[in-house]
Amino acid sequence: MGRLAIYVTSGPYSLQNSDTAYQLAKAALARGHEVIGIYEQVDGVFNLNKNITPLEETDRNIAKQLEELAKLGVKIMGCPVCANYRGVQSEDLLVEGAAFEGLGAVADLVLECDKFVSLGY
Amino acid sequence: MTKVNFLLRKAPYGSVNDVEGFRLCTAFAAMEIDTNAIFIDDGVFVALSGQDPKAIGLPPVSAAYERLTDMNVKVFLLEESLKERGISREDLIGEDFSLIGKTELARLISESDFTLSF
Repeated sequence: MGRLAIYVTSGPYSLQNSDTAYQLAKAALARGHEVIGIYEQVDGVFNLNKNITPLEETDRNIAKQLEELAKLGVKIMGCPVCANYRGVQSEDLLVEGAAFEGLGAVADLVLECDKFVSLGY
Repeated sequence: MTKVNFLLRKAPYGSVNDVEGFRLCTAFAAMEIDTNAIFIDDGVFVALSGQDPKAIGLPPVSAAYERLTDMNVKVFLLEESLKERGISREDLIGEDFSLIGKTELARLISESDFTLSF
């Protein structure tokens, strides 16, 4: 079985990237692959904000989706520098199971994974 | 040794792609990953000398570009992209780069473990 890592640089509800990251991680886990981590850089840090509230109840909650993946053992990480630049630096705003890690964590993912999926602009 | 290419495709200042790409590039090189920064399409504008973005309130992207080779990142510029934009070798910053064609670009990609696009 493979080891998948996902890297996202866009925010929620703008592009399909956040949804792709979630769906791909779920599909990989369902097939017995390991998802070793999802790293959110640049506007990706907004995906980790636990205050995300969709207008429609039927719409997906991207923050909750990441929380769900964290509970399934996927390491969810965000760039602390990008968060500072965007004023979302508080650990209190992070979804449960997520943490800020420096960019060395992305290098670790690259070194440990079989497939690295980069979702950006 | 794990080999990673960064394909930098966007012009500086209009988006944060180059700056964030550089940050990740240097983080990878510091972790002893064999790291190439390959500038193609409008990305080659990053290597243009004489950048002065003071008027738009931004620091020059070229400063981070110039540090890449000091951080053990190998720099490549696609000749076709330079030619299309009327940029000649004399217009470029420093000499720590290699000019490559599309065949060489394909080789770099095929010989690497991962290629990330910015």
